[in-house]
Amino acid sequence: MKKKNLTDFKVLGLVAVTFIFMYSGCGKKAPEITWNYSIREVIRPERGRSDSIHIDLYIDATKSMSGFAKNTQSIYNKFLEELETTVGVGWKSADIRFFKFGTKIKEIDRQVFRTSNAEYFYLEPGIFEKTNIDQVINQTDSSRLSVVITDLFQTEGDINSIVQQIKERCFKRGIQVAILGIKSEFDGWVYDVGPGVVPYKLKSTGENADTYRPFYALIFGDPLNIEQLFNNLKSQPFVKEENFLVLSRYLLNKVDMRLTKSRESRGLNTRSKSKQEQAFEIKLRQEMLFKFDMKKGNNEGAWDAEITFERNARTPDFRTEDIELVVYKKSSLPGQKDVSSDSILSDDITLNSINREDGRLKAGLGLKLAEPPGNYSYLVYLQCASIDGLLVPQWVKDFSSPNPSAKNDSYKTLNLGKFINDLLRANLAIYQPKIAKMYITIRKL
Amino acid sequence: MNKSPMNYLITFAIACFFWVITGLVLAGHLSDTVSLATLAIEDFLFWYRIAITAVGVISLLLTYYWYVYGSKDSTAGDLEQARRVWYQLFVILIIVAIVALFAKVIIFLDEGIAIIDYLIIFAALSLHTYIFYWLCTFLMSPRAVKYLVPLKK
Repeated sequence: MKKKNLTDFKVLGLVAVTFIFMYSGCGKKAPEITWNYSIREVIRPERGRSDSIHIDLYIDATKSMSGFAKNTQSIYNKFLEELETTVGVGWKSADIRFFKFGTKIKEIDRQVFRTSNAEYFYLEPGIFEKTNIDQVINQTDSSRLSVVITDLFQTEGDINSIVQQIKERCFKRGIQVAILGIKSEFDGWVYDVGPGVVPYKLKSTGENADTYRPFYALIFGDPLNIEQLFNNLKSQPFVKEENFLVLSRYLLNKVDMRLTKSRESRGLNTRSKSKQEQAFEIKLRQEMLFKFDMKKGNNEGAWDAEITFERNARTPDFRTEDIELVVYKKSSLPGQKDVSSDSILSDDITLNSINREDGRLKAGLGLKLAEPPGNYSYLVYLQCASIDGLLVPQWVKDFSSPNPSAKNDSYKTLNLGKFINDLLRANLAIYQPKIAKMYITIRKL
Repeated sequence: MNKSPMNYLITFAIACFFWVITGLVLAGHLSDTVSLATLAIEDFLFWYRIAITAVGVISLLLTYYWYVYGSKDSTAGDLEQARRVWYQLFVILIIVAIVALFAKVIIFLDEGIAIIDYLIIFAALSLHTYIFYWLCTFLMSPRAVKYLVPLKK
């Protein structure tokens, strides 16, 4: 009996050794793929408040602007005064330069700037004849904040030239552009109202704001200084949050992303994140890494993405139906030692559907991965479309007219809507703002 | 091998070996094949391993109880009662396996796990419970009761 027992245990031992050998002899693993994880393309990196400011104030000194200055108590005059005060007290140290511009740009001192509430300021020969904003744009500098006060009356040809100038000089060099529209009392002549339209006389009637004419502060420079300037100015009742437009790379203040495999997607399983990945997400306060297994014999999958966001109301809204998906891919196969740090554009992941409810985007994503077993990692962006991806704000439409005349839209600005629309398109041509950014890693079995 | 403490130690070694088979090898197979609606595969495996560990400990304790019971002098005097005890423990372990499977079905109710995967899980639970009990008692029951185990001649 003892011999028989020993035989039983030999068989058992053999089975045990075979199983352990089989388990330890499993195939080689593909190396893990990592990215230089960040959220910075979607949310602007936080920065401290600036202590000093270098600022240039440009006043449009052409004839049509004199109508704003005539009433010494006009909103226009109050705004210029407030602007100077704000710059002086809003920062610990301020280096302010003053300019008047029209046909040419002329640097002026503070005393002359303070005469901008007098009609003769706008009648200087060699300046008052033509509004050459493009010359001012040429002087913008990323180290300085430039504020241009103008009524923005431009012909279509002028607009094309200015937009091109802003694109080359500002957007390409990372200088942010903002536009603040303010309605003020007006009593004067309106010139440059388009071909075949005669200049007309315009006078606001008392307290009736509907008869006020808009002027604009075009602001060029560092995003944080622009925000700080506006936040200081908006204590005044005539500076309205809803009439401020920032052309920024960042449309969102906050974003929260979730990605789950769709229930029908039987070929995919969710995977847990590593401790390092969890620590990274805690640091960013942002879930943006999503890991899945693709089961053997499967090449397809589908996900439901839910993006909850808080839009920066000062930036233009994005057109949901035209949102684009851009995907970069890295891969590693079993036996491979290293993973290339370079990624390639991929069409493995597609955007099947997208819809928006208030501050929430719901997107359906599809995956086709007909490649051998290994690790595949994707950097996925949802971004505004390059053409007409951003919407012109309603206040711009309200302030704009394609053909203002004495009888029709007399208090509106010629082609403001086209100007802003072209600016948005130029901005998109340089940089398409990102709505979401996700890292999706697939381990194909 | 049916003498104390060797039978206790070898029983423990077999329990560990079965855990390696089910907790690592079979779990690896399940992680490749099972389809889950929302749960992460690691969470699924965590609950699976909790279940096989729990039933494994219960089975180990009941097997040890059989060794203690079979070693008593009084047991040798009433083998019919001893046979009944063996079968009672065997049935209890079948019930433990079924209850553990039922608990898993409840936990993973929303996950849409396929029947075949539940069968594999039940096979793992069976290996840890009544099969383990039968095998250990077949090989290492105390001398007085060793022929009470089914298939032992």
